[in-house]
Amino acid sequence: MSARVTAVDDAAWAGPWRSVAVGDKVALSLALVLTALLTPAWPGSVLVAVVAVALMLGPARIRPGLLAAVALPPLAFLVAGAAPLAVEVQLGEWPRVTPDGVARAAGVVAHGVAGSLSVLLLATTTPMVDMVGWLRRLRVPGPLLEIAELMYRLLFVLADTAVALHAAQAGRLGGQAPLRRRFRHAASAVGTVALHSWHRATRLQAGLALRGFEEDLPTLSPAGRRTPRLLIAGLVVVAGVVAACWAVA
Amino acid sequence: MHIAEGMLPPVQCAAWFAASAPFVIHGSRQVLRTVREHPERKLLLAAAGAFTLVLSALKLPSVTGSSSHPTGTGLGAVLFRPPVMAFLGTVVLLFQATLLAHGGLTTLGANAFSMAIAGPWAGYAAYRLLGRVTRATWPPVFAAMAVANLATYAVTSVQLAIAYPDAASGLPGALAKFLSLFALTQIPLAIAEGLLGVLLFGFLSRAARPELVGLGVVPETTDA
Repeated sequence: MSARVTAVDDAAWAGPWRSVAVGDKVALSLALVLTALLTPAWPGSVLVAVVAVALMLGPARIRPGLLAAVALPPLAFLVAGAAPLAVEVQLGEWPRVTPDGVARAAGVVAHGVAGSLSVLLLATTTPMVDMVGWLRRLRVPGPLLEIAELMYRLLFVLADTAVALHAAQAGRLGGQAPLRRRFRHAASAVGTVALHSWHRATRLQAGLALRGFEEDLPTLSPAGRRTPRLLIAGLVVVAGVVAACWAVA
Repeated sequence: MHIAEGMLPPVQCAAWFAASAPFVIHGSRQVLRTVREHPERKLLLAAAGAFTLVLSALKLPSVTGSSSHPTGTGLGAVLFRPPVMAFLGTVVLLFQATLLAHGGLTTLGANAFSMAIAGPWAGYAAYRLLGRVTRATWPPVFAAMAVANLATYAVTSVQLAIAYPDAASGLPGALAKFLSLFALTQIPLAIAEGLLGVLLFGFLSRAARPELVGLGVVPETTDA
């Protein structure tokens, strides 16, 4: 998890769309998500998925390898999660796969893939810190945003700790310990991560208090440049997808 | 398992957002009040949220040799109370949706209702009820973890059954289908998470008693 989150964050910081206004990127991503949800799977969701991938690999310059690494696990979950929709059940009969069920499952997968890729377009182009700054400008209460921001920052520290603990335990146990002992070790690993996070939070709080941090923790957040062309392109894409759906219908 | 992006019809996405919103707003107010009264708890709450997120990276040993991961909402409800978990759980879901494409933005309301609201409240109710029946610590903690886990997946099954009623047997058939599919993995996982919770609570009682006393989870002087 840690490596994937770090890779997404690194791509968002280094990408050319970092300087684009967060509101514009949110509007584009949400427009694609809603278009994927509200239009028929064919051709609506398929077109949205193609547009999202084209935007990530094209102007946003996301590496294909990174996109595959980030997108494939959730897409595999989607396929596995939609599979039961293809099965019909009746009391006293064996469950059976029906053509209608397969079509319904395929439609759900198409909606899901397009929606997930549209969300990833935002994730791979916008660092979480910028997103929090944007929400602050929308007057979301500061303490709530600070907790969310601190959660995000602590996440990397704790994920590294969890991975190191897991590796150390695996090295010591070699996967051969009895189940009871493995449970006990898993519990102590979870507890150690909890304690580590509490102690680190306490030390961070003390350090910030010494610097005069009492209520708000102001941080610099770039406003980003407004890009009317991006919004117009987004509108054109949505209109094109809706027109294509209408033509097919 | 969170409901993925695009898996729920638009009207139901809106309905689950409407159902979750009062709980999340109430939780946010609770967090704001806590932070106003105890500014030092801001980072502790952040750490708790990050901890819930990281829990999913720690694998649980399984009897089949495979592995699963805990949800952590039951423990969070015991330590920080369900309203706080409604806010923290929703932020966790938002991070998972945007950073990992796990869950989704349009399904955030439905996922928040199952994982951040129903799970913690059910787990906390089981914790309090059993706490009145027995003086031992482990049965309420076990129940909190296991019930929170099972309640989350039961609500998810209901949400999916409403969205996708079975063509032949309707809503009951779909509910039976989703519950039985989830039961294959979730009943063993809920029991494993309950056992892990008991061991974890024992570990924290020994290693982090001051923190638990500060949260009001254990009394200042106790022999439990």
